[in-house]
Amino acid sequence: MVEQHKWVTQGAEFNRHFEERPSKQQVEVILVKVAHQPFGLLMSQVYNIVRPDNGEVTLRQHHTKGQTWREIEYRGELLKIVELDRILYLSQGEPLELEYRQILLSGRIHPSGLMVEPFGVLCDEILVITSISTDDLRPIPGWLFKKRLGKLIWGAALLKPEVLVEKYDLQGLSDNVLDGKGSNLTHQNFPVFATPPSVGQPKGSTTSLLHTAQSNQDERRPVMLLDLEILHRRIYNN
Amino acid sequence: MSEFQFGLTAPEPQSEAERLMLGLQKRTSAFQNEQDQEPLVSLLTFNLGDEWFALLLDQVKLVSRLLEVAPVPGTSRYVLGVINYKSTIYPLIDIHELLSLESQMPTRASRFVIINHNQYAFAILVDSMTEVKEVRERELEGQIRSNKDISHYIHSELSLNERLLGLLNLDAILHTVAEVD
Repeated sequence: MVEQHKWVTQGAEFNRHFEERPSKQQVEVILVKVAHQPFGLLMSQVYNIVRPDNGEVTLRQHHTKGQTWREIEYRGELLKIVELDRILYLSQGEPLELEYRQILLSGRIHPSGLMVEPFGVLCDEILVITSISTDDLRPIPGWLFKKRLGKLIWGAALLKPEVLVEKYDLQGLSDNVLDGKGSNLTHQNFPVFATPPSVGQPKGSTTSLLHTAQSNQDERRPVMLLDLEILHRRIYNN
Repeated sequence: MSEFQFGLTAPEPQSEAERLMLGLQKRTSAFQNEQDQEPLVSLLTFNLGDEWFALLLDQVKLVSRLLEVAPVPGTSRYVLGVINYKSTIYPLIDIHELLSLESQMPTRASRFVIINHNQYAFAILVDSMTEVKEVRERELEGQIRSNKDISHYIHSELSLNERLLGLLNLDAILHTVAEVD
């Protein structure tokens, strides 16, 4: 069960609190790539990593209607696996073959120490395992995705670009990005403006409230964090 | 002794023109006093495409240049993702489609307006900022003459500097974007 923190959501107070009293607590997070986007999973919820190309995994059952998982055979046992790109509505075109992806195993630890109710999550690639200060965790408003994802995304981690940049292939922008010829906007239309030149204040602006001078010095990127306990409940109907 | 012996002269009767002018001055003065007592409201005005819109300045936390946008899966099509502004994460909403406007590629004039409205904190993408204007509170009650399809997202319309401005209805916008039942 992911520990739920009480967050102060007023930004300035929130950040000042952590700056004055930094936390020494760190959490280990495994970053994975799903459909060209990075996501984080708590290492405490991951018990093993399986590479399907090592011959230990065989696909046994495809998705049936209403199911969010399919079954594979792993080391002689049937295992339910959840495809993260499907569950996150990120599936585009034909998915990668199983053998090119990676499976993270999760489940529950019985008091005897054995893992029970196991399941796997399928991702495209494992990026990196990193420790994150709890001060770098942020809440994400649930109203953004409550209808489709429920509590699957429990927050975000603010990560420095160098943690991701070598592994995460940032898509470049086309040359006509400033043409003003519009099409559907996506998040990919914005990175080129990360360090724009300075411009004057808009006419009539109130300095204390409106500041267009680029003073945002936090270049960390939010990475969504997934709660595997939510997937466990979906599979085992808890 | 008549008053004329003391050098006093009787006031000349006012002409009709003078009387009319005095009346006009009194009326103007009374109107001005009434205006001065009316509360003023500050509006932040901006462009979306070729249209002009406004927000109550009280609702605006700050205006920022464009920042990198991190995608969030499972959101409605109006949510572009989230931004990190000074270590605080804000959802970014594109309201062009809600207002029946064509989304435009961001340019150097584009800005994020970060808003605090009730318990929601989020950002909207605007194509360019104009200015902060003070208007009389009663001007915010102007009837909406625009397209009925978007009138739901416009609180009222007002005329400013010969332009028609739509004051955004944030409750309606959030209701649609958050897909609240």
